[in-house]
Amino acid sequence: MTTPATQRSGSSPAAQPGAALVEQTAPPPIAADRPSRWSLGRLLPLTLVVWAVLDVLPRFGPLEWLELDPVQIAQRAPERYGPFKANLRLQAPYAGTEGRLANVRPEEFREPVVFTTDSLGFRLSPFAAEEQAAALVFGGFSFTFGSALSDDETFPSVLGSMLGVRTYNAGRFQGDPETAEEMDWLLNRLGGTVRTAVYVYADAAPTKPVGRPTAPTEAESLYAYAKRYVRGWRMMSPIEILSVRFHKALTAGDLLPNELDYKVVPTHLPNGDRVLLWRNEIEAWDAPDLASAGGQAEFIAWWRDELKRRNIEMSVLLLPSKTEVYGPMLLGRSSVVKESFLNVFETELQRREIPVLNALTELRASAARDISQGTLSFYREDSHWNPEGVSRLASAVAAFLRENGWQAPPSKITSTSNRANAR
Amino acid sequence: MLFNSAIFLLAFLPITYFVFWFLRSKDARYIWLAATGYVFYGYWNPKFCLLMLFSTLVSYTAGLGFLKWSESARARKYLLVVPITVDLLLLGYFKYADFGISIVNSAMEAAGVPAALPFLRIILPVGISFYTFHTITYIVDSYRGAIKPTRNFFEFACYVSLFSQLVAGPIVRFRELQEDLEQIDHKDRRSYLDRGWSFFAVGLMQKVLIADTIALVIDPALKQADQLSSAAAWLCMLGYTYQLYFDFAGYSNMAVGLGFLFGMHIPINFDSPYKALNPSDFWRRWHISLSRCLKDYLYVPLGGSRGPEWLTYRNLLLTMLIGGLWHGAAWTFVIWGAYHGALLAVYRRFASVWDGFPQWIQRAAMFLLVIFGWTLFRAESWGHAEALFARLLLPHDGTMIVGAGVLSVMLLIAASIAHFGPSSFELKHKWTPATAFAITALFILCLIRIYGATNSPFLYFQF
Repeated sequence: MTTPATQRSGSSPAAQPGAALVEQTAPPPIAADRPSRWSLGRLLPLTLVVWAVLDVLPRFGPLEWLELDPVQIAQRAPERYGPFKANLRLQAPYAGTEGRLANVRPEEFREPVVFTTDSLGFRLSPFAAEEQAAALVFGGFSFTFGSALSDDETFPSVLGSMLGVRTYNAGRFQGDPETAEEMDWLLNRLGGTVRTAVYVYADAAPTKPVGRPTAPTEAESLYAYAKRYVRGWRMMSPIEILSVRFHKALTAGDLLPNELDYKVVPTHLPNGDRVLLWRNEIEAWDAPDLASAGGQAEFIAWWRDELKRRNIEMSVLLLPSKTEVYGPMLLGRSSVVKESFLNVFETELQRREIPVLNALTELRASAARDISQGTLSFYREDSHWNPEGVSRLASAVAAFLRENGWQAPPSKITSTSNRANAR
Repeated sequence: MLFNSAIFLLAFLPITYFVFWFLRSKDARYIWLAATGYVFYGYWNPKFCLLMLFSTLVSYTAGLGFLKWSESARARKYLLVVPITVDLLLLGYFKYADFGISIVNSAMEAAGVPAALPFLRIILPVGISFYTFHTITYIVDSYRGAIKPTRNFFEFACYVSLFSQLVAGPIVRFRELQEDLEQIDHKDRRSYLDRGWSFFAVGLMQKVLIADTIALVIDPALKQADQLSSAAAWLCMLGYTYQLYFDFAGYSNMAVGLGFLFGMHIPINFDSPYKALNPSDFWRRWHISLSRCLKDYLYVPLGGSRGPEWLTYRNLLLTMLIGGLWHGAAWTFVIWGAYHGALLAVYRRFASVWDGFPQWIQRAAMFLLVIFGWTLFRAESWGHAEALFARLLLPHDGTMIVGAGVLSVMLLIAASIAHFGPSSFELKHKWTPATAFAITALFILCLIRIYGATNSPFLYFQF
């Protein structure tokens, strides 16, 4: 079919270059047509309908076959006050987040992670029964609820076994609001037996709220829950997950360049093992927001006061990121003296008479030995702590608590099974 | 919102489509299309909907003024100048303020004056260059009597905010859509269903399968232009040449297809531009809607080719300079525009020599000239442009690019289509069942890529 477009080849000498921007003749009217049985007018809309069904419906079905990070599955349909869906038991192969998100081939492996939630929608601590917990660990996001760790490897579990008390894992997901309303709900269900709390401040996590918060209204609280609920479902499309995996396989650096590898900076231990560092952790370490330390300390002080009103003594654990601990040596920047946000923050907390343990101090002291021996406290390809690192930290916290006058309550700890307790 | 996104394909388009055809009256359909246009635009940043609304109100009011004071030359002059000034001031502020500041600062530094004006860091509203042109063409056409302005605000709002061409063109003049808008309540839904989806599918494949795949390879490579070998640099610039074409032509084809789905005839915007024989021919084929606007509203009013030769050259150069500046607030765009203006002027002068060569030589030479122009277009700075040109023109050792194999295959496919295939308007868009199924399979591949990759905006969004 020829159109004025094809006839206009520019070969006519009459085509004046001065009139370079020539009026285009309108294309001839296009005859209307009727869609035939196998026309694109039917096939493509049908394809979209089928695709939409394949996108939406499987989100509600079982997802274990996708071998996702159990945390992802657990936050689908979270409880009203709990971060996860209640009474789940999941097992998934370990996949380091740094390597996975930067689309680099993994070089670090461990046995599959067992992820269990209790009837309240929190991570199960095998050593704590839900009704009687003497201690509670909250804040700290994925460090506290134990990303890349099995149930008995999480910080609250290990701390509890070291202290000989039931320690409840109140770790919430990143981005969840931390409110007194939620804390009261939880403490009531723990039978009012909690006397000690450890607030974990993870430096790699997003900045905390600044200042003393006001209580949210019921509507705000419901809205926050609705957002969490939708978030859980939104990320759970099998067709999207498989499409992303397909795209990542194509763009892993063999066929097509890896568009995600900028997210990490690879370094190596003396024994040749690769260690991945988040680029944004390095940037945060390079330019810490020291000015916000005071405001954030006020937020922590608010928690201390709220818990004190509930007869609970709170201590704070400051957690550095992998970059802060090992970055100076791994990146060859040991000589660069940099004021750490955690050190400034520690001072602010001490000024407010809040008991605080700054893990950065101890970890930096042993960083050189850790690197030379290849025994880091973090996973090499994940930003989270490995079981050995959690144990070290729990020992330090247990010692710190004892030094600050903590005493175990009379009741003995018994190991509990994962039973579905009624709320 | 992007055409190549899940939210558009699975939510926005079906809802907009079915409600549109459910509504019966003209005004209801105008209002619905205008409202969905604002939702489409506001998905990116709701605040800038107010800007578009303001521009719409100003131009609509001017149109009413033309109707009311059709006999008063003075009033008509004001109604021409004031709204266009308002539109250009908005465009100038949002798009060129920081560019102007950088020019002033450079001049001050050159004069040895240390003080520097601070940059305003203004967010550029997506598509402002396009919808501003829509309103300006409406005002000028109303002034010239080429159209009768509409009294129906909803009709005009629908025209300005029609989502299919809102953020990246084609620049559709009111007179080109007027008949469709007037007949909007008499359209038959099934009339252009096949054609609309065919155009849309062609555009989506051009964008997602060709342009985006090329981008995956060349974008990281071009970030390190000073490390590329000459061969790698040529591959990258060839890649960009085809990427830009298939990205933009893909978007335009999708816009055309979407127009058909709602009974609108969006005009052709690309007519196989890489088959062009000379600069003049190129601008009859590339971004046709823009070149027509430049011709009708700038080149001809400047005098066109009616005066002495030197004036014609001046008019060509000025028109293309402004065309370059329209693309972006950076010297590389200005120089690119001047480059094409110079090509047009030189061709005008030596057309008889140029046209004497065999057509394949003309096409090859023109394509080479276009590649050099795109090098300026793509460069992020002068230094970047220098590094690229150095490698294109002189032999350099350096790194090859990751994905060169895939890129080579994509370049072959792209070249076959661009240089030898029909344009989308030359296709009949009536497919055999086998071809329709093959296109559907490729459409599914597009969906997989859309879901799997981070969303890739259209290159012309930045303009």
